[in-house]
Amino acid sequence: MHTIYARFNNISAMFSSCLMALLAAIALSSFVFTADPKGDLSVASVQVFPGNARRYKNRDQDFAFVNFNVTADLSPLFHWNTKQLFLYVSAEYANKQGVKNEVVIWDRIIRRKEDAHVSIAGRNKYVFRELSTSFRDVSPAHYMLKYNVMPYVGVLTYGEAARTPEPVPFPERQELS
Amino acid sequence: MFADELKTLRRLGFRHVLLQILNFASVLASGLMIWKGLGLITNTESPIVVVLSGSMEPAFYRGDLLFLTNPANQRYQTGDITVYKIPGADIPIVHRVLETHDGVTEKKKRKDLIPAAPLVQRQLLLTKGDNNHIDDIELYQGLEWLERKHIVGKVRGFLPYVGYVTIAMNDFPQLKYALLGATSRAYAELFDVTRVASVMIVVHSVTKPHSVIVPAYCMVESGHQSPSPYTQHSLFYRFSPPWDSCATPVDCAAAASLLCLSATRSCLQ
Repeated sequence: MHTIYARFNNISAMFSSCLMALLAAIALSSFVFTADPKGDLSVASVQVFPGNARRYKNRDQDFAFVNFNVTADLSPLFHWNTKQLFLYVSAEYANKQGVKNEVVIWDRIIRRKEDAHVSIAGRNKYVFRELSTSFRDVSPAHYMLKYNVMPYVGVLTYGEAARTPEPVPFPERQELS
Repeated sequence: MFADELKTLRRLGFRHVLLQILNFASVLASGLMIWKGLGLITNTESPIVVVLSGSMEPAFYRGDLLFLTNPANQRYQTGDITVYKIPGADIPIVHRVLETHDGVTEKKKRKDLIPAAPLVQRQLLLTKGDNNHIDDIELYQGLEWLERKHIVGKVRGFLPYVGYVTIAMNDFPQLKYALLGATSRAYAELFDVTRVASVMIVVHSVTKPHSVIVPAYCMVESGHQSPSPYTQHSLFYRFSPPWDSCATPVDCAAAASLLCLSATRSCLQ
């Protein structure tokens, strides 16, 4: 009963239970912080150009190029259990066939509270293409600024910081001269 | 060499040896029960996953533990972190959804099937690792899009470092035998439920040396690929009771063996 093995076993059991309880408490504490910061997102311009698909070199495909402005102060999202913030701009639209699309065009990882005040005039980082290869007759797109709060331990949470007030239509395709 | 051990064994008697074996067997059986129970609640084949690569750094590092769910009536959204498994590739991948395209339904309608709700219609996904510069299309092994049936689940919770135990066990196989022994002793000596529950997951991963998803062996052994009825029929939802999807011969065997074990143990004691 009082062997070294038994003592070690009891101590390690106690230690691991305490650690589990502490981690659970930290994970639960992040539900207390319910910041919902709002920012501003505007689309400056959208252009559509033809190009070749990455996998199919002969397939002609439309590519959209979006210039946008983002201003948001996301520092309230940083509390003691915030490891990082994944910030992304996503476009949402429905195409001619009725397919609902959601495409991330830009993202950024914010790791410090000091960097959480975002003010960017950017353009899309990732290719923005349509499933049917053409943006003709596609419905106007909503653009949204969303974030994912990633904790040190616990539950991942998502939120929306901004969205364009009016849907932005896709222009006619421009030919490359 | 084993004369002393044999002597003690003879002294303790047949019942004691039997009890030890039963204790050990019930450790394994209850581990399986906890694991499959979790899988049933979360609707994934593998509710807990260990990160193996650095493609999601700085969010997830090698050895972090992820908790997954796969709600059958929810669509995936951009920004969700998914775990997917491409047929033919043995390592599941943890990456973030970059594009979703919903409702690409086929025109052909069949009379004997009930159309799916809008939420469970076909969805095409494209993913990308946060630490990669480019999307995952090269990893899909010829597939153009990821579909719901390839997805194991969506990351909901995060616990750092803990999963490193399984990586260490793959690197140093001796460690797992030591741990297995220690676990069964611990179980036999103190019936501490929380401790048992936490070591269960570890014991589980031990049983399959090359397991990547922690206890993937349930899936491999029973031979079923996806437990959810949804993933099999992406276009039409097959109406079946929820227990039908997860109740495989392995689960039934585990449940039955646990019952038998506890009955026998109470008889012996």
